[in-house]
Amino acid sequence: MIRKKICLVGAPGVGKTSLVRRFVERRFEADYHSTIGVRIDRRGLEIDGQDVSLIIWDIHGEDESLSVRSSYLAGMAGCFVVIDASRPETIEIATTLRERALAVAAVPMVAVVNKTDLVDEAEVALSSARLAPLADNVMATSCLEDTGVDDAFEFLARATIG
Amino acid sequence: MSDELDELRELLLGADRLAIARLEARIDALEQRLEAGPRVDELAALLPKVIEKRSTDASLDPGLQPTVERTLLRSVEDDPKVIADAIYPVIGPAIRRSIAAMFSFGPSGGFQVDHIFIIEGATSVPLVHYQRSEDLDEGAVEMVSGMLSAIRSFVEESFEAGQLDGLQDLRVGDVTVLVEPGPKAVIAAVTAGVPPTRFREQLQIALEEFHREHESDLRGFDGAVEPYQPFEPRLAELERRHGLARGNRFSVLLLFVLLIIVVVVGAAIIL
Repeated sequence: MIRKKICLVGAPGVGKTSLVRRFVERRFEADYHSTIGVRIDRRGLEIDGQDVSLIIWDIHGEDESLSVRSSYLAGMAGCFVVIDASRPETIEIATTLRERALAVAAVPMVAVVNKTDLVDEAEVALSSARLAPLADNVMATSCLEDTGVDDAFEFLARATIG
Repeated sequence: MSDELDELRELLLGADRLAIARLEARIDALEQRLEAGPRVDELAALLPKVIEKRSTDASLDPGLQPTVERTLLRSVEDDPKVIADAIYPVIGPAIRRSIAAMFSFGPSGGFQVDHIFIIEGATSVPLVHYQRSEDLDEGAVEMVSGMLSAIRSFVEESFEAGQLDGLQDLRVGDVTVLVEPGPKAVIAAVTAGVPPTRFREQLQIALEEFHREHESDLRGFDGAVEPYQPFEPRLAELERRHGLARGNRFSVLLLFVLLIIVVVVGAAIIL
């Protein structure tokens, strides 16, 4: 069994918590997220015959009044930088957070273009192209349509175990 | 005649002359070395032997003391963690002996240990966990470990530097989570009732032993937790030695609720 901590960062409302909710088997549904700025879930996966437990730190959205604590990023083995496909301006915060995450740990990074159900393919392609230089991979997801979510987590899990 | 005398001289003094010739050669060689100045390689080879030879008396101490002191100070200034990690297994027992000499401990009743976690410091990943009854599955253990670490970070960062020397305990009502930090891992015990003073000491000892036995595993930690599982019986022994059954079992829900209450109350105090 290998246990890996991964983090999700991004602007408020980009759908980080929805991504986690889609991915994990069960959750303890108490709202402490807004109090300390993080909530923790987990899911087990099998990658190439290896049991991997992903411990997922869903970190609150950063805006002008609330910044992501670097201590929450410490020790992570991989990171999602999430944007909202219908709000291209969330790429700017994603870029800032990506820099902060890399300063804490040089780990595999996946950029997620979320809420693809709200835009057309051309807009998804445009956002993906803008994010491409920022991450090891760019993946498009929709929690509403349940597309791409498992693939994104599995890609990052695989990247964390090298 | 002269040849005979030479032969006699050779027979009587031959060995001595050879020895004298060798000594002269060594003296010449030493003189040449002195003229050429000291050689670093030769001195380096001799130095350990010289220090070892003089280690039984104190004659070297005055000369070495300032250098050793300056080196230690410089090391601490550069990275205090190096020295702290090195002395951690030694300094803990020494401090406890001093405290034990000052206080006498009496038994305490109605104390129960429900869970003991050892959590990797950087990643918050649980390395080994003991529970008195099967309350938490592996997933819950991972989430609780993460929450504990997040709460500690939150509280420590919310106070100004110097105001709080690390969060040690979380307490709500009768339930206490005792936390003892180490250089690479943290030990946390979920308990009910009044902990005997020696229990905290035993937690510290267990954590020191854990660091000692898993030093190389911890240094190269990559998420694999199997190497740490042989330590689980030691945590069980810790519980058996101190836990007095109180009847009420801890539930997963109660543990989560406890942590959330700690978060909310803590935030209210801080903000």
